[in-house]
Amino acid sequence: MMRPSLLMIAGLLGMLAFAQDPPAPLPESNPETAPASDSKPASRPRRRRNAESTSSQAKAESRPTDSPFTAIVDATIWPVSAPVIRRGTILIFEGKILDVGRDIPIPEGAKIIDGKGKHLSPGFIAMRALQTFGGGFMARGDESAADQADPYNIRMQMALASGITTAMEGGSPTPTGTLAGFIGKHTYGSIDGLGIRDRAVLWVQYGTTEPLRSPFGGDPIAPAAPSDQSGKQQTRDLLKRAVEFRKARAAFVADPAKAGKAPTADENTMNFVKALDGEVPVFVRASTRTELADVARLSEEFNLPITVTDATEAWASLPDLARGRLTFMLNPRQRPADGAEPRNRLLTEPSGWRPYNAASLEKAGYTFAVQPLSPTISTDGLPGRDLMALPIEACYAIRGGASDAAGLASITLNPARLLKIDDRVGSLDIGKDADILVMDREPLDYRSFAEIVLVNGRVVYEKDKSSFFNHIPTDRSTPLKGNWWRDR
Amino acid sequence: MRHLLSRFALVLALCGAAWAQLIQAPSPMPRADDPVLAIVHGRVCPIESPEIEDGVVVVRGRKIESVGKFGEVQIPSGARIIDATNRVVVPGFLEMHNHTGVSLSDLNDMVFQVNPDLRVVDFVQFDTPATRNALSAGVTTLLTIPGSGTNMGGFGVVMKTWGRTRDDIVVRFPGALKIAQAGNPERQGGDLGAGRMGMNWIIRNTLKEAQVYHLAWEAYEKGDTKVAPQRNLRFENMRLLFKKEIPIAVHTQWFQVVQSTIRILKKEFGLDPFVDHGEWEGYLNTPELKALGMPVAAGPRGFDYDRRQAKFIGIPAAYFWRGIDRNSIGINTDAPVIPQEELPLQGTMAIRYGLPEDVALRALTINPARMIKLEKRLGSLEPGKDADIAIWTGFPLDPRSRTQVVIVDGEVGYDADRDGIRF
Amino acid sequence: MTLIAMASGSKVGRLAIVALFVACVAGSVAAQERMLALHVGRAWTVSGKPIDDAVILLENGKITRVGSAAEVEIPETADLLENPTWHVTPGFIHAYAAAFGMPTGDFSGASNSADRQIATDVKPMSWEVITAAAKAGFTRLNVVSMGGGFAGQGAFVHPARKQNRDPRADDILAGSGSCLAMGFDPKTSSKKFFREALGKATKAREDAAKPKKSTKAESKPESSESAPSESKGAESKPSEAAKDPKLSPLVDVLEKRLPGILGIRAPHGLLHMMPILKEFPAFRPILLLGPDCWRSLDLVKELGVPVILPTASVLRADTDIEIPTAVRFFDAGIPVALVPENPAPAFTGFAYHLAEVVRRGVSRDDVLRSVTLTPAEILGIQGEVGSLGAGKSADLLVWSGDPFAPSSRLLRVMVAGTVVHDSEEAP
Repeated sequence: MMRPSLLMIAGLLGMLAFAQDPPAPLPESNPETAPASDSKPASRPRRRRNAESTSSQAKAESRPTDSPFTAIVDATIWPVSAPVIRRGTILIFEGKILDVGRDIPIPEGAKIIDGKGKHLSPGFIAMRALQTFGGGFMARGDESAADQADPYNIRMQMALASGITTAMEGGSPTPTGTLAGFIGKHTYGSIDGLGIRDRAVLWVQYGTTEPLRSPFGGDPIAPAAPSDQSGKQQTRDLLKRAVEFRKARAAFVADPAKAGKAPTADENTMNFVKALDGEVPVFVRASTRTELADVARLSEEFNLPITVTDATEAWASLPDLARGRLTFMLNPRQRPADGAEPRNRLLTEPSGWRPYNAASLEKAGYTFAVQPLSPTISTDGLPGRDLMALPIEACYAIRGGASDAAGLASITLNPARLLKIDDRVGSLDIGKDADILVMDREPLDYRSFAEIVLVNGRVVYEKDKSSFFNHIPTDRSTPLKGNWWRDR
Repeated sequence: MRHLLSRFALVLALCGAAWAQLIQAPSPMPRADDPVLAIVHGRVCPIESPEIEDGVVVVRGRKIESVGKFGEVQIPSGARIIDATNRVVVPGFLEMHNHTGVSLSDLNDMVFQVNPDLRVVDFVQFDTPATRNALSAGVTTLLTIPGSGTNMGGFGVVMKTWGRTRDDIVVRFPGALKIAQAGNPERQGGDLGAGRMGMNWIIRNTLKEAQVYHLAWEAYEKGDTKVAPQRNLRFENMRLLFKKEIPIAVHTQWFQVVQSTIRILKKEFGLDPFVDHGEWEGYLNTPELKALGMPVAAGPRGFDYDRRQAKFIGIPAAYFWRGIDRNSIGINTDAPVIPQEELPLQGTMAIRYGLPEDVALRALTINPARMIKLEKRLGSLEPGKDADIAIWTGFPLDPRSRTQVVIVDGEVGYDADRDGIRF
Repeated sequence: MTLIAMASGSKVGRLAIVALFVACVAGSVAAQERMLALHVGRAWTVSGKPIDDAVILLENGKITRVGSAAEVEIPETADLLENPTWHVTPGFIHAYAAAFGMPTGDFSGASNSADRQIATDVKPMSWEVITAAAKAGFTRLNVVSMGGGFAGQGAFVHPARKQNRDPRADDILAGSGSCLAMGFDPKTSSKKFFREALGKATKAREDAAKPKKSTKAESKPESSESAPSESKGAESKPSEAAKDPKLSPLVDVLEKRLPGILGIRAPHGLLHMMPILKEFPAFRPILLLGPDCWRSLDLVKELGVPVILPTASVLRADTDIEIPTAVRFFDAGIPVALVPENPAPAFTGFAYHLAEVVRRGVSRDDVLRSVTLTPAEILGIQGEVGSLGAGKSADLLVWSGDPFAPSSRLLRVMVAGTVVHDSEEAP
């Protein structure tokens, strides 16, 4: 937690709390709106000098004000990026986390959320989500998905009730790469700070030959790619061109006069240039050992960081994987319908799904994120397989041997890293967005519910005020609350 | 009961043909020279008695010999010791609604609207990937039943998930009659039985015929009549229902359907049905179910999303908190709708949506055993019961826990160290 | 003076009334020359309090007097219709009717047809359609084209009495340029469209407001920002942009000379439109909202604009939870115009929907106002129609009893004194 920025911002806080000027009017901008990431101390409101009141919680609680500060106090904090803090405080200002830790001075008049007995987790991040930004949702051409999002829709509310504050929707891979996918936040009831990034990921299909099937059988979730080499060749050609472009660009930047005119490239090539520049993440699906080895070689050859999805046989491919710069997005229990090993394999070859797939990746030092079996929010009644059970999926990684820390990171900080939004979300760190779950139990306890959800520092969900789960008591040995059966 | 059974067996022998009989696995009582196994230092949850912190479970042959505190229970010399330090020892789980261990394409013979003459036992497989996975998830007993394509799919079988031969795994046949009163059987168009009125008539009519058949045979067996009625294979197994030796697993999911289950199967024919595939708002029937002592196996849907209230109502929790007592509630998967190895997850989600933890554990052990009238043999850790035991790394319904060792009929069927972690 | 004693239920009596009405109508095709007096149980004036035991005098298609029987003397020369159980209300005004040949599209596109006068496209369809509007109680309809961007300028239409020939547009047209119909769907392209159009219109207003003496030196820096062709226009004549037929209606809306109606059906649409509305404070159109629009209530309050609510939308929600949408808007003091769901066949059942709104807690007075005076006010025709008062057009509805009671029937619909629907004659 101790970073240079901590000192800087703590200093700022001190300045805010003890500034000598009389109270200045609050800024006109909505305090719920996330500010730009660069700090602007000059525009921040200054507070009255009153040393006594700064840390006086009781006083603050008794006087609700329109203070721009919110403090969640006396809670067990799971920052993910750092060890657990007991009886700690998170201070929020203008949608960002201003401070995290123990013995943090609280500005006078700050809104106080009592976190006694509660657990604070970063909001969960769903790497694949459907319809949490509204139905009929699509963004083609110049359209921005953020401009279509419906922050009233009930699936967003359900996602928040499940602790998911950030999600990516859309995107499907092609050999030439598709720049697609919208990353946004569940800013229920507001479009302020909803969009994070459009066309967020470069989806590449690299010679995957087996269709992806649901663990429940039925039609494939994703079709098989052509088994010929042409698709792979397309990808590699584009990458070669992207490498050439980057060389030419470097030469042009170094000496424009000598290089002549600035280099140009077509859109597909430019997408790969962005990927090589590290601007957008590259997602490639690879399930079997052969596919995983292929992707690792591709990563090695072009020094391209790749996030591998659906890596069912990663546990058996670790020596091959070591060649590439890889991260993983997987479901820890994505397995064939009848539990059988894949057909057409030599019996001597280790293959198929293993519960310790995620754990073996962790032990080999890889970053992995977890996604649920289904990217939807299902109201059909089969529990534990959709977005609403995201933490349950992380539990399955732990069940297979992953550490508790990696389990929590797999639905918070790791997806943020894989999506390249970890400067904004994914952990409870100073300067990050205040996307916080106030939970009644530990984040990965299967009984745990988010009681309060904050996104960009704004309360967007409260269990008691929402009808979804307000009848379920924290102590399950006490009856369900209310007359939930009467109104049928 | 024993008297009746033996008399029944005698009658059958006299008839010269064993048409209907309860096939029970041999399950011999342990002998002194049977191998002995002792699970020590675990946190033992016997289910029917309080938890034991540092416990011992001694197994001889296929049966549990003793359960108790470490130091208080004598561990026979020469016993194979399984150290369960930091582990949780619970009975193997039972599942009352599934289609595991059989070929799915053989589950439904839908030529007739009712098929009480069909039986699952003829095509049960053992040691399939699905039963192996189920075993590794601590599931040791299954009531595998026919599909719900018709109003009576046939008779299911109670079987273990692990054994050396097929005869070894079959606990009892027939396990239960499968009746479906609405939903899936409605697919046939045009004929009688396309709607619920016709379907329930067919069910009642079939039960009535079976009842007449049973009474005729009973009269003959008692000596009240002299001429033996004609044998009818169609109704032979159904006699066991009227003798109350086996229950009916009823695919009954909605409020109205549960009503007809209560009205027809329980009240009109006096049989032992249990609500299987309990879903949606069927829990509104709990006062009546409770009064009649009818148990409920809820699932595979774990919650009912009530659109009018915008509320996620946990189905096992709803049945429980509306009044079904803690001994009468079960949880199922309808595998492969939910994979068989995720039966514990069904329990997990039942707790998440409001069922108390201890009740969820009962709902996977002693309660389903009671539903199929095998509570004297299965479902808890008690001396004399089948040695079906799962050793977990933590509370079994926490999805972060997995099994380390699973014992079926006294033998280690699954060992994570030996076999690799399967699930 | 013709006095018809009303024996309720007497077939002879009813036929007599029919005969009288037919006679009146036949006489009033040119103009209603004879004075007609209505002596009824209650007159809902809307502009004032309901008057019990009321007399309404009609002459030459206008209302000449409204008051209680004690105050108003019925002239000897007037024909008299008398029934103590009858109620009279002003005719209903349909504030947003995508009917009479107008498309009922969605708002997803963003094209500019602001110069389109849909009066030229109004199709009378058939006498059945016209009668359907009358039967639903509508005496004035603001017919619009539905679509994204600027869908055109609306036209006023009124029902007409059936004649023995096909209907003609002239039979029903009551005026053109009733409003500018706009539509917005949350999309990047739609946002861009409105920003650009409003930017241009705002600039045109600013230019027009500038003194004519603006010199080249002054206008140069500004012109460098905009396209050359525009700057040229702005240079030569500031009001040139305002004369652009695709832009001038929007300028008129900003100048409050023309009502603007902005259709936003998606519940989150207004949320996405808010930044644009904040950017252009002069742009405060009437909002046509859709299902679940209660979510936008706070935003509507903030904007202080009237709303048009389709009744089916306020009676229905996306969940099964019944949300008292209409009550929330009325309680918030927002002017509400209730309209049936488009298209025309949905005219039927409108009275039932209004009664449903009453059942959900909105007062009779408020509901009646929302289909009479409020739409008249927001469309700027309240001087002519929308209430019962001297000088107003004789557009009125004669009910067999309380207009919101389920047992009441709509007996007569009059437009400018002409009976356009008569329940006794209707098949």
